[in-house]
Amino acid sequence: MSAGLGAAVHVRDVHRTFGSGPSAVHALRGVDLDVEPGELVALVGRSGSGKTTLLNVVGGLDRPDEGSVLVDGIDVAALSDDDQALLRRDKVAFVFQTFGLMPVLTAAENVGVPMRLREAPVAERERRVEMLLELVGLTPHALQRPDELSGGQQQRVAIARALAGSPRLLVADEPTGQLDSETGLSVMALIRGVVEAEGMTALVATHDPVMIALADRAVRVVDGRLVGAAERG
Amino acid sequence: MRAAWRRARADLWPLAVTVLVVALTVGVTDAVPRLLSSRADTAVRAAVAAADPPADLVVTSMYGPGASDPTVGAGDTRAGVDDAAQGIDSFLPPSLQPVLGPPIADATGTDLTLSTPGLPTGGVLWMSYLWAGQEPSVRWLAGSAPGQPGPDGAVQLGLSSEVAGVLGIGAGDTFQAMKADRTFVPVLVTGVFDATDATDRVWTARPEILRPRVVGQRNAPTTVVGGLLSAASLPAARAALEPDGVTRTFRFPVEPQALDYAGSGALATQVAALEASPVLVLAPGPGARVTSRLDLVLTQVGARVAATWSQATVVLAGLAWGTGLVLLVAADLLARRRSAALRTVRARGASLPGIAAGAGAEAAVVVGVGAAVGLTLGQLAAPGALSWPWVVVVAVGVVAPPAFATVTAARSDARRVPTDRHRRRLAQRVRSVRRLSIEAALLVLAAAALVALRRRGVVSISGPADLALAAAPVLVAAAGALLLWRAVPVLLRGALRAARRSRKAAPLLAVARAGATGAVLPFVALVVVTTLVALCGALASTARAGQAEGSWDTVGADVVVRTTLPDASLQDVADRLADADGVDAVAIGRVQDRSELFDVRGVDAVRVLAVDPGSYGTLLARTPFGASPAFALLSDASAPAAAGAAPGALPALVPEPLLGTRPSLRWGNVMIELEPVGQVPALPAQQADGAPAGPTIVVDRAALTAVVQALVAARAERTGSARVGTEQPEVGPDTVWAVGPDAPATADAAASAVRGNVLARAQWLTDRRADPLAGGLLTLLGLVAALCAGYATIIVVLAAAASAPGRATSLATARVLGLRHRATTRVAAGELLPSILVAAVGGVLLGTVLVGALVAPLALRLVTGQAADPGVVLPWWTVVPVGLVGAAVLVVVTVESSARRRERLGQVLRVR
Repeated sequence: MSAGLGAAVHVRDVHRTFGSGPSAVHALRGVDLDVEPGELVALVGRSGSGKTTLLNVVGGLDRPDEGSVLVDGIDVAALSDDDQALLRRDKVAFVFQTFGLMPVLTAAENVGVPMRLREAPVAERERRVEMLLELVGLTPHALQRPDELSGGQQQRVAIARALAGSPRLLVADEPTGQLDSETGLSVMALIRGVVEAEGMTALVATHDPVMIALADRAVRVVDGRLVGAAERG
Repeated sequence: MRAAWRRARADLWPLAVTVLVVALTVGVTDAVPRLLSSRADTAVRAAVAAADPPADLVVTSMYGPGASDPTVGAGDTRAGVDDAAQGIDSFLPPSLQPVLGPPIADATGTDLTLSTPGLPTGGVLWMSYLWAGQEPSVRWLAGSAPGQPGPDGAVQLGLSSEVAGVLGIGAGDTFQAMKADRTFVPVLVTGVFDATDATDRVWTARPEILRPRVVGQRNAPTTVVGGLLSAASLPAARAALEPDGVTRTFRFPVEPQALDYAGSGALATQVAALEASPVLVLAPGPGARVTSRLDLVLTQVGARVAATWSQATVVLAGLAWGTGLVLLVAADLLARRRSAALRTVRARGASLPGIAAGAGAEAAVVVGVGAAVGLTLGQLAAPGALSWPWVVVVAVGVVAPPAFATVTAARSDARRVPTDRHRRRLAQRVRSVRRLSIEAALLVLAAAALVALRRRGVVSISGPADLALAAAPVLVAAAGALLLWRAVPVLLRGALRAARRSRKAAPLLAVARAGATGAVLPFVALVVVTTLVALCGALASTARAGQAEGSWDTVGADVVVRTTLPDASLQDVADRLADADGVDAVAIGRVQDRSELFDVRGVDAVRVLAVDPGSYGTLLARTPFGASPAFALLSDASAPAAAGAAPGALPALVPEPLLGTRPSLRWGNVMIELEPVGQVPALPAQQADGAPAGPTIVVDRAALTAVVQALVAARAERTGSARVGTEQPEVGPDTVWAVGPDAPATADAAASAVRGNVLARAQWLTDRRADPLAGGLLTLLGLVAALCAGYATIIVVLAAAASAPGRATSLATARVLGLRHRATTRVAAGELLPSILVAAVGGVLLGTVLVGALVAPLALRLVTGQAADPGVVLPWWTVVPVGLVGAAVLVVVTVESSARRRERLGQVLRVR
C-alpha cells in the first residue's frame, strides 16, 4: 500500500451510487486503482460501466459515497468545493469528448483560460499560449472561434488548454469519440506525445483500440468494478 | 391533449408570466376608458358648479319706451316679467331645457342717486322687482308691501331692515332719488321687511336688496342699495324711469347634474348660437341679449377632458405596445425552451401549420385566461360596457407563440449554407440590407409620428386613425432602442479589449458572453418599457410641479381676496392682514382684465394691474416670481402724478414690444396716455377664472386715480356735466394679495366683512390635485409607471432565462477548469448587466427627452392649470428602473448560482 500512496492517483474502495431505492444506479462499486506518475492509463469498458464516473471522482468533479481518492497525495473527496476548484486549476486538466471549449472565445483565448484562472502575468500567458498552439499545430487558427474550426482542431485546442496550466494529471473522457479515425489518431498521438513531453500522468477513458495500444496500461471497467487489465493491441 | 398539458406543465412559469402580464394590461386598458369617461362627466359638472361668475344663461331686454301706465298694476308686470320668463323658458331649445333650472327674473331700474339721513354723502339706489315662480317671500316688520302709486305719484318701495338701517329711514318715509338727467323720482317706503329665507335663490338676482354694498375709493366710497318693488308698484317705477330705465333680466341657472361630457360640445354650440341670435328665445322688448359663460366653461373643461383623454391614450398605447413586446419576449423564451422538442417533431414529419396550430391553441388558452382575469378586474374597478384597446394585446399574445414556434421548428429544415464564399457574402449582405431597411423604416415612422404629434398636438387624437400618433412615444423608444443596440457592440468591443489585457478570466468570460448572447428583442422591449416608466414618472412629476406653479400663476400670493366690483372696504382687509402675525407682505390693487390699449399697431386687450408698486414688488419678492427693480422704477416715475399734478401721461410697466411707444389706455370713459418706463416683470399669468391673462400693463394705482380724476374734472369743465352714480371710472381696489403662513386664515376672517371671494393658494392646489381629471391622470401615470417597471423586471428574467442554458454550460466548463463558484456569480452578472443597463439607462434618457418633446403637444398645461406649458421636472425615481433591473439581474444570477451548486459538474463531460 505504501507504493500505492506514492502514486499520482490512488483510489481505494470507491463507491458511487446515483439515486436511491430500486431505481438506484451503482456506478462504482469498490474501485481500487493506482496510477504511477508519468503513466498513461486507459480505462476501457462499455457505455455505462462507470468509466466517466471514475474520471469525475478522480478529477474532483464528483464525490464518492465511500472510499478515498488521492491525487498527488491530496484527498480529493475531503476538499471543499473551492479547494476542489483549486485542485482542478493547479493539478488536474480535462479533455472532453465534446471538447468543452467556450464558443465565445477564440482558440488562443480558450487556451489561455487556465492561466487566467491562475492570474498569471499577461506576457507569460501569451508566450505559453503561443507555444502550446504551435505545439498542437494551430498557430494560424489562433484567432478563430471554435465553431470556425474542425472537430480535430477543436480537440487540439482542448488539449492545448489542458496543458496550459502545467497539470500533474490529465483526465480525458473519450477524447476521440467525436472524431473520424484519422483525426482521432493524430489526437491520440498528440496526447501520448504531450504526456511524455510534459511528464504528466494521464487517465483516459476510451473505446479506441489505438488509444489503448498507445497507453502504458489499460484497465477494464465492468459494472462499476475494475476487473483487471484489458487486452492491448 | 395530454402531451400539450405535459408541455405546458414543463413551461409553467413562462406561461404564468404571460397570464399575469395579459391580465394586468387588459384590466387597465379595459377599465381606464370607462373611468376616464366617468371622470369627464364629473369634471364637466364640477367645472359648471364651480364657475365664478356662474355659468347661468341670462336673457336681458329693455321694457321699451312709452308702453306703460303707472296705474295698470300687477297685470302689466305679470305679462312683462312673469309670463315673459315662462315664455322664454318654454321656447328654449330642447337640448337646453333639461340642463337649465326654472328662471329667476328681475326688472331693475337704472342707477338713482339718493341722499338720506343715514347716508348724507349719497348713495346709489336700484329698484327691483324679483320673481322666481312667485315674488320673494318676506316678513314685513313695519308697514306693508308696496302697491300702486298714491295721489302723490311716488313710486312705492319696500326696504330690507338692513338697507333701511343704513339709509336711516323707515316705513312711511319718502325721499327723492335723482336720475342721470338730474330729474327726481319721488319714492315712498311702504314697509320694512326681512327675507323669510335669505338663502332663497331669488335674492341672488339682486343681493343689494338685502345687504348694501360699498364700492369706490376709500376716501370717497359709494354705497349701493336695492329696494324691492312689487308687481303692483313696478309699473309706476317703469313710468318714472322711462324711456329706457328698466331692464328685465331672466336668469336660467344651470343644473350641473344634468350635464355630461358627451353632450357638452353640442350644448356649448347651442349656447353660442343663442348668444349670437338672441331672437331665438323670443325675449320680449327691444335690446334683447343672451349672455352666458356656459359655452366658455364647457369649452374650457372640454379642452381639459380632451387633453386628459389624449394623455391617457398615449400612456395606454404605450402600455399596450410595451405589453406586446413582453409577450414577444415570453414567446421567444418558450420557443427556445422547446426548440429541441420542436425540431424533433418537425424531423418526425409534423407540418409547420400543425406546429403553429398546436402552439396557437395553447396560446389562446393562456391568453384567454389572462384576458378573462383582466376583464374581471376591469369590471370590478369600473363596471360598464367593455372597451376594446386590450384586443391588440390579446392578438399579440395569441399570435406570437405559434409564430416563434414555427420559426424555431423551421430552422430544423436543412437549409444548407452556400459553400461558395461569394454566395455566402451575398447572403450576408442581403440579411444586412434587410435589417437596415427595417431599422430605417422604423426610424422614419417614429420621426414622422413624433413630428405629427408635435404639430397636430392634443386635438388630433380623436379616433382610431390617430393610434399612430398615440404610439409615437413607443415608436421613438423602439427606434432609439435600435440605435442603442447598434452602440452596444461598440461598447462591448472596448470592454473586451480591456478584458483581454487583464490577467483574470472572469472579465473576459463575462464580456465575451455578453457580446455573444445579447438579443435584440428583449433589448428593445426593455428600452421601451423603461422609456415608458421615465415618461410616465416625468409627466406625473411635471404635472404636480406644474400644478404648484399654476397655483402661483392663478393666486399670485398665498392668498388673494377679490370682490366682484371695486370695493373700498378692501383697504380694511389689507390693513388687517398687514397688522396680523404670520403675514409677511400685503398688497392691494385693482385688476382690470380685457382693457383696451391703443398703439400704433391697433387695439390690444390687456390686463391692467393698478397697484402700489412698492408693496406689490415687496410681495412678489416673497413668491417664486421674485424681486424686480422695475417696481422701483415705476414708483419713482409715478410719484409726481400720484401727488396730484396736472393730467398727463401715466407711467407704466409694459410688455417689451411696447417699450419706446406712447400707447393709450381706455379706462371707463376716459383715455389715458401711457408713458412706458420699463418692461413688465414676471407676474401671475392667469385671470381669476384660469384663463390666460395675456399682456399686462402695471401702473401705480394712486397715479392712475389722480390722472383719472384730473381727466374727468377736465372733461366736466369742458362739457358742464357732473358725475352721477357709479358712472365715474372706478379706480377702487378689487384685489388684496398676501403672503405668509397665516395669511389664508387671516384673510378668511377679514374678508367676511366685505363678502370678498377668498382664494388660498394651498386650497387651490388641493382642489386642483383632487380634480377628477388631473387626479385620475396622475393615478394612471403612476399605475402605468409601476406596471412598466414590473414588466422591465419580467423582461430581464425572461431574457436571462433564454440565455441561461448557454451560460450554464459556459460557467460549468469554467468551473471544471478551476473557476471558483463565487466567481461564477460575478461572471454571470457581468454577462447580463451590460446590455440590460444600457437598455435601462437608454430608456430612462429617451423617456426624459420625450417628456420635453411631449409636454406641449399633450397640453399638460390644461392639467396643471398654467397659462404656459410647464417646465419639465425629472424626479429622482425616474432612475428606479435602472436600479430595479440591476437588482433583478443580481437576483437572477444568485438563483442561478444556487441552482449551479446542485449541478453535477461531471455532466459537462458527457455527450449532449
